[in-house]
Amino acid sequence: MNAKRKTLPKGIAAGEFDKAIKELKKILGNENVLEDELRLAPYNKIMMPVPNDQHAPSAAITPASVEEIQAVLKVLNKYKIPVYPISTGKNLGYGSAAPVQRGQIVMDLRRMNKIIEVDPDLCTALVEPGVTYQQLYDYLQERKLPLWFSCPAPSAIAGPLGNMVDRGVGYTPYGEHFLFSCGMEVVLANSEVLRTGMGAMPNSNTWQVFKWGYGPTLDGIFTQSNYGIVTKMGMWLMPAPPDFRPFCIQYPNEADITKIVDALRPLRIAMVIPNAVVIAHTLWEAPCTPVKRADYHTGPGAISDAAVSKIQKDHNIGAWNVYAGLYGTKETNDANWKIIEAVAAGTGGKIITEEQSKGSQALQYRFDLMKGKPNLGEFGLYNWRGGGGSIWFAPVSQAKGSETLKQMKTAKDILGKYGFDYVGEFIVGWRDMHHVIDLLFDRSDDDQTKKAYACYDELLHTFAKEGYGVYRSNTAFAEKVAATYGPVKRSVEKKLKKALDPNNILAPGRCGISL
Amino acid sequence: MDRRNFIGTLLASGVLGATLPAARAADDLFLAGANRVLIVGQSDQPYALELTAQLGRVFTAAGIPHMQVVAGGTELAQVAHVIALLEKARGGRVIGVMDDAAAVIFQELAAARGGACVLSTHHRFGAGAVRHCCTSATLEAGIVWSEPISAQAGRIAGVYAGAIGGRQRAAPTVPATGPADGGPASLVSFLINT
Repeated sequence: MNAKRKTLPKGIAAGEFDKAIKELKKILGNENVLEDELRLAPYNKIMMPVPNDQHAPSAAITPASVEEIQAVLKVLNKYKIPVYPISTGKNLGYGSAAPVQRGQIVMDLRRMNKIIEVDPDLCTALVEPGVTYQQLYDYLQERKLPLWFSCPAPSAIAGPLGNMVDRGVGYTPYGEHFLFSCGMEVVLANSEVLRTGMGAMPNSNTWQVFKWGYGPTLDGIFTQSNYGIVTKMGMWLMPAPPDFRPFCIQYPNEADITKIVDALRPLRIAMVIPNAVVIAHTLWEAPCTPVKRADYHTGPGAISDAAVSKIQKDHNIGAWNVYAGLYGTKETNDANWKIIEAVAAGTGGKIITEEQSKGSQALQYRFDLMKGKPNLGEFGLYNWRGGGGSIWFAPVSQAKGSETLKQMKTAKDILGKYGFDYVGEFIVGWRDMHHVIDLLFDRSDDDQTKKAYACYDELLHTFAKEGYGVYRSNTAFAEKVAATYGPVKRSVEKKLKKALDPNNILAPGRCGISL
Repeated sequence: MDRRNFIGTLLASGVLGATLPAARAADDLFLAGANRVLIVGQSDQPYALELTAQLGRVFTAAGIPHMQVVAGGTELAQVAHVIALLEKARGGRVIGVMDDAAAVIFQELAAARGGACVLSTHHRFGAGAVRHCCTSATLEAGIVWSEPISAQAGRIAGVYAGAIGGRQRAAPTVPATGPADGGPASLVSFLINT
C-alpha cells in the first residue's frame, strides 16, 4: 500500500485500492492520477460547517475524453470504488470540489474544456464540462458574435455545464439554466454513452434545437443526481437585444417586500420584465458596495436593525434593492419603461438607471450579470464576516408578497438566534422565487462553526414543517434535504439508481441518492 | 481559458503592457531562479502590507529567492490580473496575503490551473491582538495562536519560511486567547504550489 495514503473509500481494502489506482494510471498516465495529499488539497477545500475530513477524497483523476471515462468506469466497477465527478468544481457554498462522502475519488473534468460548436444562426452552443463562462464569453467576444448567455454570480470561474447539472440560475431572460439547456451526452455507469433528446438518433442535426426527442424525456434525471456523468451539454444563447435597459429600484423598509413582489409578479409573468428579477436585502448589497461590517457592529451576535438602517442611510442602499432589465428595441423598451416608472411610483420605490449608477460597484456587477457578462463582484460577501465559512440556504417560495415576508422573518429570527446576520435575496423565476440566504460564519472559530451547522439544520427543518423545500443544497446536508421530500420520491430514486448504477459507484450520497 | 485566450485577455487589459523595463528585468531574474516565491500583498490592507514586508525580510535572511508585488482589492477581483500573477509564479510558489474574498478567488483560480494550496492561515484582529488559525493538508488539525499586533507578524512569517524550506515549523506554543467573535478585521494568507 502507498504508505502516505490516509483516506480510503468506505469498505475498500488498501490493497484493492492500490490495484485500482495502478490500473487507472495505465489508462490516464501517472500525472493524471493524484494521490499526494498536497495535490489533493484543492479537492478538500470546503466552506461548509463540517470538518474537512468528512469530505476528504482518496484520490483525484483528470480524464481528458469520453473514452478515458469509459475505461475508468470499467475499473471502478470491477473494484466497486466510488467516484465523484466535478466539472469546474466551483460550487462554492454548496460543497465546492470535495466529494459528498469521505474516500470517494474525485473525477475532475476540467481538461475536457472544448467549446465544440457555436451556431450563430440558431443561437446554440455545445460545450464540455471544463468550459468556464469566462471562456465562453471570450470565445463570443473574439468572434464578435452578438450572443449572450446567462450566468450565475461566480461566473468568471464557474462553468455552464456544472451549473446546469446542479440546476443553478442566472439573471438574463435565459436565467433558468436547465430550461435553456438542449441535449446532453451522458456516460452511464456501465460505460454506455447516452445522448438525450434528438442526439440519440444517428446523424441528427437537431440535437441542440429540439429538446424532447421521442418517448420519455430523460434529461432531468441527470440533474441533481448521480445516474451518469454528463460530458457534453447543449445550451441556448440569447441574441443580444438592440436595446438593454437595466435598472434598480430601491425601497426603504423591510416590510416593503410584500408590495414589491405583488407589483412585480404580473410584469414578470406577462414578460414585460423578461429576466429573473432579484430583490436583494441591504446586507447582501453592503459587502459588495463595499461596506465593512466592523464599522457598524463589533460585538458577538447578529447585527442590529438599527445598524442595518444606518448602513442604508450612510451608503444609499435600500432595505430591498430590486434589479431587473428591459430587453428589446428602443421603441418597446420606451413603452415598457413607462410601466416600470408607474410601478415604482405606485409602490414608493426609487429608480436608479444605469446612467445614475456610475461608480457603484454593487450596481455595476448586477447590471453586468443581467447581460451575461461574467464577473466576481459577489465574492465581496466573503468579507462580511470573514473566516471562510459560507453555506447557502435556498428555499423556494411562491411569488406572493405575504409568503416572502413570512419566509424572511422566519429566517431572520432563526439566524439571529445563533448570532448570524440575514444576508438574503429573492430571485423571481416566473411564478416562484428562489429565496437565497448566505449563512456566513468564521470557519476558523469552532464555536461559530458548530452554531452554523445547528442554524442550517433548524432553518431546514423549520421551513420544511411549513412546506417550504430547498431547491439546491450543500453536500453536507444532502441526506437531510432529500429526507424532507418524503419516502416515495426517495424510493423511486433508489430504484433508478439500482437500475443504472448497480455497483453504486457514481457519487453515492449526492442529493441523498445511494443504494 | 486556453493559453491563447489568456494572452489575448491580458493584452486587452493592459496587464502585460504595463510592465516597466526595470521591472521586466527584475522579473527575468526572478523567473530564472529556482525554488522561487512570489509574495502578493493586498495594498489596501495595512496588515497585509506589514506581513508581506515581514515575509520579505525573513526570506531574505533565509536566502529564499522571492519577489514582492502588491495589488489592490479591485485588481485581485479581476480574473486577468490574478492569472497574470499566477503566470508569473508558474513552476514556483506563491504566498498571498489578502482579504477573504480575494483569497477565495486567488485560490480557486490557482486550483483551476492545477495549483495546490498547501498552507492557509486566517488572521482575525481584535483590540491590540491578532489571532492566527493555520491549516494545512499535512496537519490533522488547525494550529491556533494569538499574539499582540505589535509582534509584527514575525511568527507567522517564520511558519511560511519553514514551509518553504520543506520543514513544517513546530506548532506555536502560545495558547489561543484570540479576540472575541466580531473582531474588526479579517485577513487570509496562504501558500500555493503552482
